[in-house]
Amino acid sequence: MALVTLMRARIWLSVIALLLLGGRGGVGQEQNWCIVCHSEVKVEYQESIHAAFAVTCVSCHGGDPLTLDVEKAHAVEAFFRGTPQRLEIPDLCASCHSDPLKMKPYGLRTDQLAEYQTSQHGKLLAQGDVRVAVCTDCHTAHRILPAWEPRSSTHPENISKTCARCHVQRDHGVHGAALAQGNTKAPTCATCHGAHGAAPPGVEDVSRVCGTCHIAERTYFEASSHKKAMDEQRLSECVSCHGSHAIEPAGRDLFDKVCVRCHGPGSHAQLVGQKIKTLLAAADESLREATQILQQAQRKALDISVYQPRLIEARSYFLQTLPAQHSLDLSYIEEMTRRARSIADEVRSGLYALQGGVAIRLLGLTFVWIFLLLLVGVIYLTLRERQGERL
Amino acid sequence: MSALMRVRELMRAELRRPAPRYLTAWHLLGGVMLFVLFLEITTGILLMVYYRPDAAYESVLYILNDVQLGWLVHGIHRWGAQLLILLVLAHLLRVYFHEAYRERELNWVIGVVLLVVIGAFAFTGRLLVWDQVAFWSTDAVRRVIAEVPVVGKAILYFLWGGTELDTEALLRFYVFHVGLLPWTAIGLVMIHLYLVSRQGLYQGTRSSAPNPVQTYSEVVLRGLIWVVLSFGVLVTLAVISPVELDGQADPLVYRSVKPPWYFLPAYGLVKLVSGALGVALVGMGVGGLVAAPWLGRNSWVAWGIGMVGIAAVALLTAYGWRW
Repeated sequence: MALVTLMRARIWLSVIALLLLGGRGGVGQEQNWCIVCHSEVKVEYQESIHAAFAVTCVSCHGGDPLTLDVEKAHAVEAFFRGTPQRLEIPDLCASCHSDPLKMKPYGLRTDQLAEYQTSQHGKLLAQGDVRVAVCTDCHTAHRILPAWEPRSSTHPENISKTCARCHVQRDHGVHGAALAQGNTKAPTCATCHGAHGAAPPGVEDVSRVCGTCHIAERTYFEASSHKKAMDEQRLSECVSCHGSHAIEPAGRDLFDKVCVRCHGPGSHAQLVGQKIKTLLAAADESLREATQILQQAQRKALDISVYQPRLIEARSYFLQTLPAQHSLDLSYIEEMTRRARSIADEVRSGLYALQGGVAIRLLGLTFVWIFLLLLVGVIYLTLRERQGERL
Repeated sequence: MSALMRVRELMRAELRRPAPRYLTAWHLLGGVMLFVLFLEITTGILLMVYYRPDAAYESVLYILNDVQLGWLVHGIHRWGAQLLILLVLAHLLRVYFHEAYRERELNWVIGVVLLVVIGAFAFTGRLLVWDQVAFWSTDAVRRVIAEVPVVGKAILYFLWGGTELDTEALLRFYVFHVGLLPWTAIGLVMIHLYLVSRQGLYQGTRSSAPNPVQTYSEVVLRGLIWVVLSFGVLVTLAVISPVELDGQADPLVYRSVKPPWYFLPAYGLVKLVSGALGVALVGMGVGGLVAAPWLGRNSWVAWGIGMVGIAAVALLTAYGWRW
């Protein structure tokens, strides 16, 4: 009896608190008495996008949200559904999210369920495997936040952790590093595998997945002799050289590490790789040196207006060569790196000539000092003469 | 006898007069300062011929690259400003520790005001090149002044012409640098020299053995040696360490910059005590310098105050440099 009284007192206190704080939890909270008893999800729910747009507990769980009577609230007549089964969750979410009329005001897509059904997750769920991810595993059940919100489990910076709840965490490599530095445009798990239609890309699809961002690289690769050979041997294109998850920055050392995996040391193909590496290194070195001298000249306030655009031109030739190395077209790479190098060398020698004036200035300074010291000598002698006269 | 001949005779007579025996090399600092000030004005006028505040950075580049010996004139102007500040500080310390301010309090105050004016020259001149370092170091001062309650905004409107640092502020700094401050400095220097000639040189209390008998012509010749050598030092600095620029000022690309050495004590103090209190303390420091002759009536007290002041400035400089 005392327990019942205590329960009632708690309920009424909660009601009074809710009325006093009315409206803080979002629109229509005064009609949602469920959270009076289910206080364990209250904070999570009130932070969610659903609470902000008055999508209350009843939308997913059914029941009567207007009563504090436990039995009436959970009555079958009130279409009380309880905790939805994992098998039901995609359809339950889709009852709103696949309805164009309901989603139109929010500008949300309505093809998530269709995509989910094509995913590995969806296919296994259809077979009755309830261990696979459903909507609530990635978006959470109550604290559903839009993907742009940094606290959201689907925000780019949190995606790898969300996927890692079931899969091995693979947020290392060049993409993971970019993401860790706060670049939210860097690719996440969902960028390559898809979000709702998540599936590992097949061997033939890999270049397309990488090529959505690395467009130039893909174009050059498809024109290369590698394309046909790899297709024939069913080798994974980009992944064969760059790896899949732990992708290292594409440095020139890849030519030493990767080519020999398929081509024997000293073979023609391996030598072509080494030639490309040498050409790129030489152009890069020339550009670096020219940039360094340009910065020095800029600090010395020399007029570099002629050389700055020339160096940009040289750098653009070099940047064109970087994706072009995937074509293995030695003559084209040779031509591009030659252009970059010759302009960089021209800039470098021009800037050296500009700084050459320093020697002339030092010579002038020597003459100035000779004159000044002679002047000091004359003054000193006059001073001595005056002192002699006086004595 | 023509007027020119009379002037010549007067000058000769003046130069043959015996000079005080206590005159040392320290007393020649004032003369060297006058020369450097003259050099600053001369090189400043030459720079004004080509400098354009509406295209500040480009015109500085033009001076440095295209104008015949423009780089040398600009270099001498920039290094001369630093040498002038150094000489003013040395002169101030000499006067203080020789207690030469006694019975010459007004001239001491004028000297301190001159120091402030020369600081203002350096501050306004620094912005005129309109490069990144100039922009962001001036903007740091703007941010400090903006925090001063009541008068902060008024000061900004007077000095900056608004609350932001832009080309309007640059024009205003240019007007201060070439219009207002030179005349103020020349006027103060003339009053300073007039008072020196009226009140005479301070004879010293703790001076060691006096110099042998000497005439003013010998003093002037010794001073000329220092003038020639200081000119040589300035030309050398302009050649071996020419002016460096840090790219055109860009309000969208922030650069963290430290102030030049002569503003480091004030910077250190404002860093140590942020906000209006820091600015008030800098003002109090200058006020204390003005009031120094009245604070140190006793020689030992004056010496103590001087040493504490030097230690404080050294510590604040180190703090400003480190952080």
